Amino acid sequence: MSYQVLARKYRPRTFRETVGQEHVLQALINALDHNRLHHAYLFTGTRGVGKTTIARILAKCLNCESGVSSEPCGQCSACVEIAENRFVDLIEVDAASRTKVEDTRELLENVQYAPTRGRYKVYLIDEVHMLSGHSFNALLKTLEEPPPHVKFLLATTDPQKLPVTILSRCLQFNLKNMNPEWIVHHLKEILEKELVPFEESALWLLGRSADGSMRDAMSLSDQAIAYGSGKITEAEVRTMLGTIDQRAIYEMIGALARQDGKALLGAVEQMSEQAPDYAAALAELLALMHRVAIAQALPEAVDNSHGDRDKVLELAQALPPEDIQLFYQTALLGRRDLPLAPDPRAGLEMVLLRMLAFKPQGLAEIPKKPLPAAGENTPPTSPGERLAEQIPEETPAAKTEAAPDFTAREEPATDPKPLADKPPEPVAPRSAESPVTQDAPVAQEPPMPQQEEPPPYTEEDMPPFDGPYQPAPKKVRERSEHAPEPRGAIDAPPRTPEPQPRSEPPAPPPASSAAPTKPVETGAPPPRKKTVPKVALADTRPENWAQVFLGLNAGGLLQSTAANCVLVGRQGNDLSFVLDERHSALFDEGQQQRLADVLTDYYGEPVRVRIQPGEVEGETPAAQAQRIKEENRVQALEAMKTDPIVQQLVEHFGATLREDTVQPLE
Amino acid sequence: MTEHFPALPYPWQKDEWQRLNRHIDERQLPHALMFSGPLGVGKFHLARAFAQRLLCQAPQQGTACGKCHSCGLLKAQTHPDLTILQPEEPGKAIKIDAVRELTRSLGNTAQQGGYKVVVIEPAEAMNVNAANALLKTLEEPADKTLLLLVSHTPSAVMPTIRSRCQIRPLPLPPASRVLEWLKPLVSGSGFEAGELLDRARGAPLTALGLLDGDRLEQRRQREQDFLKLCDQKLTAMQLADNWQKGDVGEAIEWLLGWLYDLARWQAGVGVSALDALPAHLQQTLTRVPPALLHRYLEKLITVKRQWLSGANPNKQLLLEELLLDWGVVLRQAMKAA
Repeated sequence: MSYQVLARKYRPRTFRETVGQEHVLQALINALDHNRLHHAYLFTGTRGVGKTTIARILAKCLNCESGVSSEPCGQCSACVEIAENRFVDLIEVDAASRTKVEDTRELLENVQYAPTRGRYKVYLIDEVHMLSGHSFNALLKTLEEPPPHVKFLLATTDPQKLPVTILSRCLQFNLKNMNPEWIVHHLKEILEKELVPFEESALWLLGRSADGSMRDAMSLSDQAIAYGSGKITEAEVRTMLGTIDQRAIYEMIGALARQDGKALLGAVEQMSEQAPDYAAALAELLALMHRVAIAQALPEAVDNSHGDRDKVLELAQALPPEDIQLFYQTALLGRRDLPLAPDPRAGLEMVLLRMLAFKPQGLAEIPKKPLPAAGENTPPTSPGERLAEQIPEETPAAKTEAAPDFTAREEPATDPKPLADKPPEPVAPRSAESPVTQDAPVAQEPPMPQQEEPPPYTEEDMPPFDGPYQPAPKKVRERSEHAPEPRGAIDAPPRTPEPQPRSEPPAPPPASSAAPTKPVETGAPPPRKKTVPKVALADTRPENWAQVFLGLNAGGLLQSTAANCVLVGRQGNDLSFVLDERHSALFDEGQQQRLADVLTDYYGEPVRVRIQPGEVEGETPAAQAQRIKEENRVQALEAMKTDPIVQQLVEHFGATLREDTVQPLE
Repeated sequence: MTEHFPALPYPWQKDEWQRLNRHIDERQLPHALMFSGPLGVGKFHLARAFAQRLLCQAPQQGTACGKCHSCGLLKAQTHPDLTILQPEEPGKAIKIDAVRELTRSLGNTAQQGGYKVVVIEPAEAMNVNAANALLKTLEEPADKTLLLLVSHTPSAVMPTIRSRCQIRPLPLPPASRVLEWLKPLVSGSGFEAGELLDRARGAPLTALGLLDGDRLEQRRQREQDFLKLCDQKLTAMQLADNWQKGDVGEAIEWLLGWLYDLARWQAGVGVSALDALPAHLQQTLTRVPPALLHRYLEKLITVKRQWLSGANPNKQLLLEELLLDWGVVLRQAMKAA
């Protein structure tokens, strides 16, 4: 007989030999001893925790010639044959290679016949999750009411793939992962039997890297014995397991914290000596960053299961949380791109270098959410966020589609107001936040002209819009030295195609319909007192009424009314206005008093106001703004037409200037 | 690669080979082994050599004799007890039918009375169904059966498969050892062994494979042209025109590799190809902003993904776009100067 690996040789033969799983064994032993057996059992659990083993022992218990008990004799022919896997009435089915419904039917055809030799016919269906849907259904009736001489034992690693109808017909036992203590204990026993010398610390290493599976531990021990030519020593196990060297991973994060590219690549070099799986290394890196992030948020929540608590806490101190988030995001993306790299090692190196390249540095204000920077081409976060910023009053459907990102939920609550009367504010800090959101202003543009169109702005009106809006790209340029032009060229394609249209087209409609409704309807510019020099009451004349208006703190209907009024006379503190008839539909008497209040605020002394709808002579503030806007437009159009580049385009390429698309900037 | 028979392990695989032989001598050969390691270190070769050794009826000094009946069959690649399971087409999956066929045949006794050997290459190519179908056989095959799994990325193999195998890592061998082997093989080809190994990123067989056809010549040409572009002696249009005549996929691959090297070089690691550049080019390349470089790489990756997914873009336009963008990146670098 050829050599059997440890995992097979020491497959437990009785319940007493099994390691752990007391909760399952207790139930089974009691059921066997009290003769309260279910007809279908389902064993679930991760690889190598004893599903098949327990099922086989159960088969032995059921068929032992000395009677059904939890302690099969192990001597009788039934026990021996089961142990050697040649017992006629134990039908072990590899469900994964016999998935078809025909196979299952064939199997069930024989269920009705009594067992040949044993007491029970035991169907052990392993890897049952692989059966096809039809197979499962074919099994249902039999599984529910099998003949008394039939027992079904199902085993799988993936119970969630089983239909509920199967689950409900079985008694399910979930086997637990093995903890390292059990594994070490068990390995010790086995190695003593095998007369293999070992170091206990080596067994702990094996036990931990087995990750909860006894079979993994056994396979690793086999490997360690082969590696160490007949003995297991810690040093050799360490090199053998060295697939992923944790120290190299710590070193990587450390080098990231120090921004030391050379050390970073050195760590990869160091790791590469052990033929690691770079995808697994990246996964390790992610896991460690996850722990570091936890350590930053909840230092007491870091457990010491990996024996590296102090190290994690130390790293948590060395790196700002936003960096960790950024690195995590970058690593996640890198994992997706890893198969596309020329070779996996280069892929890992590139992910690490990218973390360095995009590490936020030299920022005046610490970004609250560095995610967009890293995930600049992750569709879910950034466009979603941008959507949320631009159109807070979006429909719920669109919102849920946008992203399950907390920013999306958070912003709309705070935004609507600021957006209506001073749109740029929420945008500006964000665009300064990271280089990436630099295109946020670009995306912002479509809604803005719409807002401006009807309410014409005077020149003084523009700065609030432009002020925070211009510095944004400048800040970005300082940071990463990118002019917008190459970014545009390079940026557009890498962004996955589908989020792009999503982030931009939907923006305009809500902007016109929802956000700034009032100014649009009324055709009045929102007054802005900061920008206009104040006019004293004594100096107030019809000519400078427009200037006064711009300094008023009026909103809504009142603002609209005021914008369409002309001052016709002032007698002391009495002001009389004429309201343009065409805009008087919403006028009511109460507005006189409200305008008076606003003006009182403005002048600092009480005034009375009388408004009379009628034919206006002269220019209302609204008309004035409209005129200025028109003038600007004409000027802009002129500038475009005389622009040498445009002229060349027209000349050489037959371009036509679409005049309606020209927008004055200031 | 020419097939030698019997296959001998490569020099850097000696240790592993001895270990495997010891298993046979001590009758401690496990039933499932997984060779894991990067592409191009000769894992498959080792698996095949070991299969031959195991099936040979009169092995000499730990290798197949090449004379016995079994070896004759192996040589003719008709040995009934050796199954090599590979995807039908490279890059495709190994399907369940093939695995079912395999498990069925493994249920029979060996036809030549010795071992039955299965080589699965690459193991991660088995799709979920195929891998599941193998589980039971992999755990408890019949006597005298050896399953050799070859995997470039073990993490892509199902954990239930991995847990049933003894994993044998085969790392990239140290360069000195490879060069000893590579030098005589490449002598006369006009290429430096060290340079080849560098381009293959240390993988010996990949290095040797570079010699096939005129790929290396093309590579060299590509690199020279690209450097001319960096030096502004060639326009992006001309270069795109040159490149689109060849294999565009390879051009993208090459560019990706070169830019990876550039990124590593910027981080302070010596890359011989870049260290050898004239000073003014080096200066420009150092100034390429890393963030911009990575963004460009990202774009290149996207292009590569599209290319591999069977998209059929206009080659000229694609290359022009890529190269023009690179021009923009370079301009930024010069501006920074």
